[in-house]
Amino acid sequence: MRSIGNTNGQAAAFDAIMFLAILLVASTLILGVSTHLRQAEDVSEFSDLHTLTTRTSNALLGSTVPNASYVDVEGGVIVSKDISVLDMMVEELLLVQSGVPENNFDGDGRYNHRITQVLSSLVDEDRFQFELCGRYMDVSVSFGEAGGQTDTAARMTEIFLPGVTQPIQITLSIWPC
Amino acid sequence: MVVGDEAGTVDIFEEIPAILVVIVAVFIFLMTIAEGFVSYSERREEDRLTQQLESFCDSILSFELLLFGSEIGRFDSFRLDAEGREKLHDSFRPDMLGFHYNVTIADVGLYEEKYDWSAGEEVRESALSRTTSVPVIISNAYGQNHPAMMRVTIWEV
Repeated sequence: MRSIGNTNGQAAAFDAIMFLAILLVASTLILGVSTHLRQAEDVSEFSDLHTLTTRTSNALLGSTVPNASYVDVEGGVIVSKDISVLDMMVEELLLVQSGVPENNFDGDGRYNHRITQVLSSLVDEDRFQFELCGRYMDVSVSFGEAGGQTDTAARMTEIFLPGVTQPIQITLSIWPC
Repeated sequence: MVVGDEAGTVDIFEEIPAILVVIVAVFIFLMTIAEGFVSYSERREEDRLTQQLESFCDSILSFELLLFGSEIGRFDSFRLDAEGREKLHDSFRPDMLGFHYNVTIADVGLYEEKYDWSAGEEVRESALSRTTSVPVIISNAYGQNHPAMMRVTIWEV
């Protein structure tokens, strides 16, 4: 587009501005794709979350503590040595189901305290939140935050006791902060 | 309106602002393309190193010479010593792997006795490195299973 007389410069400037506008749109599209590529890292982190949860669950349930205790129905303190987190959870669920009050496992050095200590040491709480939940029949115990986030990875372990059809379920859920 | 030989000269001056705008537009566009290319290249490099890290991490978690009862992710406290360090180095040589590495296992258990251990090289400052932390167990002959965090860093020089 060309014109004559005094409008020559204006026409050229208009063409240039149109050119600038088109390149700005193209640049924005390129930047958008580039940003999308960077955000796509979140997807791989989410898939890694499943691996992390599985590994954390294996390490957590297999770990032992030097000692842990609870108070039985008669008020006596029962101390277990070198007991694993898995055994503590199973024992607690069975005992609560048989009538031992839940708060008999609370307090310094008790089962719930020891389980929380091991769990906290294995999860980076600056980056992730977690919930460890155990269920047996109508009894449940849980540690950590309540879950329910959409990007949560969970690992369930089931233990079948002899003569009982309903298994003990222990589920560890982990999600990013 | 200008006539004669001076017309061309005036036209050039009239179009200087337009040329400047075009130069700016082209500059912005080229910078954006460069930024996009750098971003894409970095992403590809990071992905490649991340895959190498995952693969290397799995290899260590299943490295038979350090394991307790051949169970993946469960290390033997007795084997986490200088000899274990040498065995790891012999099996995973940086010149064969194509990257350098550092492996640190921190015992985070409640026991007084700790089985902290490390192998590989000191972590160097590098433009491209990747780190991951994996929960593991260190077992000993007394039936104790210490929870631990294994931190693996790989980098290219």
